[in-house]
Amino acid sequence: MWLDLIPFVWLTAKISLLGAVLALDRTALFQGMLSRPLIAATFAGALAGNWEIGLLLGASLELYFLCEMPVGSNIPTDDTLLALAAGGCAAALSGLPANVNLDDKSLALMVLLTILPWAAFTRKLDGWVRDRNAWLIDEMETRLLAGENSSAINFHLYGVLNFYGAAAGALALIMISSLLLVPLLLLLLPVWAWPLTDRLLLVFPAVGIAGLLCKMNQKRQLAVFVGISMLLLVF
Amino acid sequence: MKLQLEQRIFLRSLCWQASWNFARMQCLGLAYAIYPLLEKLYAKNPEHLAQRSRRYLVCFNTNPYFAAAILGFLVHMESQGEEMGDQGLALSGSLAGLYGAVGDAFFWNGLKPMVSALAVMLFFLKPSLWVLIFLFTAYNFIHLGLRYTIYVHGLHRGIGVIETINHWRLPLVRNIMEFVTTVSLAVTAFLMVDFFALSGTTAAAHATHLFLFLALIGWFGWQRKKRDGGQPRLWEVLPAGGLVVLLCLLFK
Repeated sequence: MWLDLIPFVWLTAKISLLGAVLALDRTALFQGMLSRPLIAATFAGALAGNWEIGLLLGASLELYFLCEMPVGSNIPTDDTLLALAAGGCAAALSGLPANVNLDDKSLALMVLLTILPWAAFTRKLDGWVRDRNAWLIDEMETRLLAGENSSAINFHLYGVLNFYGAAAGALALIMISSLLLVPLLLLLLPVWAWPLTDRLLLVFPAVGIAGLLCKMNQKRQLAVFVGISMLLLVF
Repeated sequence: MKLQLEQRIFLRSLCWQASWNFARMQCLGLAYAIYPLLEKLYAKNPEHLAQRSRRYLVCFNTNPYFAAAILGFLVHMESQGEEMGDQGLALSGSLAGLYGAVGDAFFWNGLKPMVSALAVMLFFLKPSLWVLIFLFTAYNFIHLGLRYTIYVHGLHRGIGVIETINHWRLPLVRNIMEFVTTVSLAVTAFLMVDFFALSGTTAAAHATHLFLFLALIGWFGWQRKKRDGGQPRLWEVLPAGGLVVLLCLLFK
């Protein structure tokens, strides 16, 4: 039985270590959309052998978290970690013989239900890493005073290690919890609810669309949104 | 040789927020990026180099992309002597506030939602890996192009970079991007009705399902407004979605 778990442990380690590199794009390096849920979830899904389910989860999470902006010193939910964990878990579980008959959308919904409660944790973790980064200033100042100029300036890059370590650890934790909880959730779900689950995934993009419309110039954008919807219906 | 140094400084600015912290925010990123210039200017006097480097360890926070304009401006000022460098650093605090507001509005509220919404729309149209390629290239073509351009303008024009950016009328561009975002969201909502198999066989059923879905979006929007911008709770989201799905199945 324990031998059956080895592929999952290996997969968790792989996604945690490689996914954390992708998560660096979020704040520490480049910031070029590599860390967006659409890309992150597909990447994790591909690592676990099913990029299609990763892409589906990525699209849902992309819209769901789109209205959370890192404006000023505000720290939004780390949607990259959630997307990586969701994509990896869903792809890994979709390959199990017990889930062969399970629709991708149903499985994606179950995974999201176990992943989203970690949102507050990822915000706290991000805040903790940024708090920890403050020691780098003291270290840099001390070294500059000691005349070690080049090594002092490079202390800035130690922040990357802090972000990487926290992301890898958190990813492993979220993935393990989800890999354990999803099968349990599938057991507990009443049979009559099955036809609903594949369609219920739509609530996440719907929340995202609503959130984004609220964030913009509401009256004008709402008029445009309703107008385009009606036009599409007519034509 | 000078071009190489400028490019090195720009490349170092791509890890601007590697050590973002609550104490002085992006100060280490600024010091790290500008260090090659200081090293070149004060190489003969390591003590003075350390002193000049320490001056950059002041509280600093702005939009990470628009930071390139301030970095270019600071390189321009620092190259003209210590006194000008000091003046530049004193001014950079005000510029950080200005570009923080402009950059956040343009990138976080304009470009990012637009490109993401378009990518998700493409996904619901036809799921494929091209969606990811579109998201990555479209965003970075604009992001990196703008980032490098404002850096070069700051480098050559100094404080004149404000005028250049003002000429681009970014608030107007942002309004256009918001419009594109809204259109793509509407198309996405329309496509989602089919994607999640809500759509009925008749036109009337399809219209009913679309109306129900739009009502669901409206309800979530109202919930969010009630919470001062916070997302509706998961235990409110799921029953509401379930109700809509059930109604759709009934009217199929």
